[in-house]
Amino acid sequence: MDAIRITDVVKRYPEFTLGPINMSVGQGEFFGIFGPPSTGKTSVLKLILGLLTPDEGQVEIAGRDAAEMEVSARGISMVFQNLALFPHMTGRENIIFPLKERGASEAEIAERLDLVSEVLHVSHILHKNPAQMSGGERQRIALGRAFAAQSRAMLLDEPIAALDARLREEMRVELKRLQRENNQTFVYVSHDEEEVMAISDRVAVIVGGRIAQIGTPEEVYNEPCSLAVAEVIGSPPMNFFEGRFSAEGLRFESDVLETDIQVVCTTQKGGAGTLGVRPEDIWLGESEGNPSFKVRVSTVEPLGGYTIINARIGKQIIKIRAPGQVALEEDAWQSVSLDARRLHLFCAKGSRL
Amino acid sequence: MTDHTLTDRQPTDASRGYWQRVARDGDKMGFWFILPTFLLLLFIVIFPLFMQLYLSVTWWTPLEGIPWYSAWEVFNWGENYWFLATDPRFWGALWRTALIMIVAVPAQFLLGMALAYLFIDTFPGRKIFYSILLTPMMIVPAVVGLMFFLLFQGTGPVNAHLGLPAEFSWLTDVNRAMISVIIADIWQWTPLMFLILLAGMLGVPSDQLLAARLLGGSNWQNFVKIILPRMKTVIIIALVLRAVECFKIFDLVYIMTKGGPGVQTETISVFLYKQTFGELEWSYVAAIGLTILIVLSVIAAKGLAYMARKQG
Amino acid sequence: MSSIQINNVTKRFGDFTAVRDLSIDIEEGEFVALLGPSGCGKTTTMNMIAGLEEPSEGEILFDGKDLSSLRIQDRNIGFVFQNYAIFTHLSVFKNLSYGLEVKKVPKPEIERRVQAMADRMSISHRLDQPASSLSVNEMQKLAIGRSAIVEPRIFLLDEPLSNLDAGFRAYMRAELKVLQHEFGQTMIYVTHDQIEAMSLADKIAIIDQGKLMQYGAPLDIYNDPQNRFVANFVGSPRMNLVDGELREERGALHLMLHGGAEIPLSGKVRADFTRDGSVHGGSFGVRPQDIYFGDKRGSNDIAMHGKVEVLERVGPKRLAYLQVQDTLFLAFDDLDRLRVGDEVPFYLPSDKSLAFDMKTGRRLGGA
Repeated sequence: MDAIRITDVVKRYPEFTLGPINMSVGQGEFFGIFGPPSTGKTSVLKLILGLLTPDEGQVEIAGRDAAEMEVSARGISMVFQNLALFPHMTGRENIIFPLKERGASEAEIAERLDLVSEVLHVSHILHKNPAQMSGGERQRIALGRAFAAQSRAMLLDEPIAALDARLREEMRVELKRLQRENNQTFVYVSHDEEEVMAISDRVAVIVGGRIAQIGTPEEVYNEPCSLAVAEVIGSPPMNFFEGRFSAEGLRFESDVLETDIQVVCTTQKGGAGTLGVRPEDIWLGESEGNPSFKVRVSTVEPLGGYTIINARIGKQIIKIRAPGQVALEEDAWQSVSLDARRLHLFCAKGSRL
Repeated sequence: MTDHTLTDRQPTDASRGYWQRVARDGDKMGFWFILPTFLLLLFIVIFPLFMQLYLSVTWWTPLEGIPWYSAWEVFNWGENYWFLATDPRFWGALWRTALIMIVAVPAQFLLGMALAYLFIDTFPGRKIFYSILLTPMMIVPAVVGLMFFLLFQGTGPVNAHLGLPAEFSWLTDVNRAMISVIIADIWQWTPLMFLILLAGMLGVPSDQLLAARLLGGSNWQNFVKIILPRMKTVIIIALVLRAVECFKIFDLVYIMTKGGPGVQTETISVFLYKQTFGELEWSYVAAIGLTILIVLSVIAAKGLAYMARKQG
Repeated sequence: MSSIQINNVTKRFGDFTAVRDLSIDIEEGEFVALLGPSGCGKTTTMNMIAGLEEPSEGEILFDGKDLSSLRIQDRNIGFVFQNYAIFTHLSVFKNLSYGLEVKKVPKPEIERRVQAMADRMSISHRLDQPASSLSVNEMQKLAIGRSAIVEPRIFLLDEPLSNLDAGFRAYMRAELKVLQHEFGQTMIYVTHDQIEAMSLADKIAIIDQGKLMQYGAPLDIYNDPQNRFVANFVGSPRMNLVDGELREERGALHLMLHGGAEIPLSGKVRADFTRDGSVHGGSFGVRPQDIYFGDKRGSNDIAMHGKVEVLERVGPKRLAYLQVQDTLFLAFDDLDRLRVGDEVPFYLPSDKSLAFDMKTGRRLGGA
């Protein structure tokens, strides 16, 4: 039985419509929801939690229709984007709040508090007020509060967005371990694509108010089912080339690249389309059996373990990810080749071929 | 889309009892909370207003010998208003009141603005000066009237300092009496302008001001281009508020000059006061009162409309 | 375009010392990043350069001159705030023209320059619209354009990309780099994101708790970190840094990790640890991409054994978290062969591993 199931849910707003949404989260799954900002990701969480009611469709929690359940009876806790810590309470009081509300015994409260503070490394700040804590500490207290309640599922709305880059990386591992060790169901919303892809068992990509794709990070990364998904997954983002398919569907002629690309596309004969190539699938230099062309180097970003090269072809700028440390001259011409096995083709309407 | 709605849960039918349902429904709850205040407003404002309208189209005064609700017996088809239109005493008072308002309000506005500007940044003693600056506003207007009455006496400190003889009267000469009243009003109410305008100035985001400075803007340029435009709403509030209040000016005038000599320094409120308690012409007063109300409402409405437009 | 010398600058706020004896030399036209965790003093340093704060000790010179006697509005320093500080009550045009208007530049020239800058920043279609109606990304460009149009002697940017979504951030990084080359201005960029610093800067100054940790070109810092802090902070994913005590046993030198595991040292990294006799404990550093699985390649490579705890997909690669007792090692699972729960052997190449002194954090041995 799924922990959470959302069927054909629609929620209408003045500016746009969210849905229809269909998704299910298994018990003990780390489910990520990713999309550009302000596209309804938070609304999905609120629909699960019960703060919002769907205009159409159904939300089920552990098999039961959520419409019949009060918010407090659903057994779901949430970590909000702004944390919503009680400012007049200490860290300790914040964490044990849900337990006290539920009327848990002193012994149980003490036990949960110990467990939670140990896992989240907050024992030394329990006595402080939120105002006296750093951003990272506050985040962990907020997580602790949601966690202490031992709920059926935890919803996290960009919980680590406010932290430093380094701290975020560390917290990611902590969150993942927390989730796995306790076999908790997590629904994690973020607009940081790298974060969601790294941490989730499965990901739902929301674009334009609808779910564009659901799958494991591998699937979504390697086989984006539409242009919309391909555009948002991957840092740096995928490079796109507009063009046309030949009449027999054997070649793709790009407006920008001089050479044609050999493709075998049985469904699309003629017509416009888009070719997508990820930066790491563009290699420096020519390679056997792969289409190659020349580009003009614009800037070079040395990141240590790998290098990102911004290069011009015609009026377009493409990004190339090369392993290791590469020294290239700006404005120099460089030949590159595309990994023919890892090309993504999209038809004119945007779906994958 | 930024989703500002936290929740849109509707009350379910599964709750018994009217009051339980009220507790769940924001709209219903709002109605019951507003009701007491609404009833209060009804009795204190709306009912008297209709009473005033009713009386203003009759000849009724307490001397007629009939209770007020029987005033229809002396119905006069609005002749009071006709009389009003040709009453020189009324127009004189109106003109004088308007004059005071037109001079005093802009003066205290500019003064308040200048003072507020000085108070944006901290400086040593700011807190003390702030308290001192606010005191005039906190003194009972009648007392302020008395203060200036004493100050502007022929034998008083003002004349002494200016080296003027005791015969040089401030309060019995019509023009100079107006000046003294205006000065008193400015003295008393500049602090209010200062307070409101300072709040408006401090509401301007400080990082935008900083950005303006970094771009090379001098203090004056930043004031005119950044602070002032953002204060439009606050300025309107301050001006409308004080203009309406100033129009009703009573305490200062009554205590300093009693409206005299004769009726030559009467303002509308002083005039109404004398008519009400001296000559007992209550229906006439009702008519005047209603007229003034309409005039002031128009001013305030214009101000509110401007603000509403600015809010978008 | 100015050069900047920060000479022994210290800044105290009451008891708290935000910046300690900081000295950095920035050349004309250089793009320098001030990189460090929140609260390390980088923003305070930038505020001192802008003239918003005065150093408690030391001086900041522009082309050799001290500008502290000048008022803020006369310094001609471009500043891009973290939240942009756009004049929301003005149009986009008026925002861009503000710096020129206050200098009483004639109208036709203002028109010309504003149009050119708007074109350059790709926001000319928004010129007549209120600045508050812009998207976050467009506001970013407006903030930069507004400061750039007055041709300041230096450009200061305070975490300008932190409010942007990830996709746009990558795009703006490239844009900023091109802009800087075009304008040729000296740029100082404050950030806590080492990816930004590495990709944009000519030189990076890494600051921790007010002190300069290292100052150099991105790849120099990456390849040759001078201390543990720098090694930990720079590089994605982060370097594995494990701490422990040195113990000699029958001729073999081991690093006894605090988490319980031990690393048998050999080859270059062993030499680095033993070079200075006074070192008793230290940190062992090795980058995830240098750890490998399968067969041993170098005779001095160190064999370890661990359990796969977590697998993360980071872009095109998979990152494996290997648990050795209480210590976690990060490594790349290039061949996609690992599963969570696997017990696998892995190797640490001794010539690519780094040694750091426990007490001071200083790097042991040379490049």
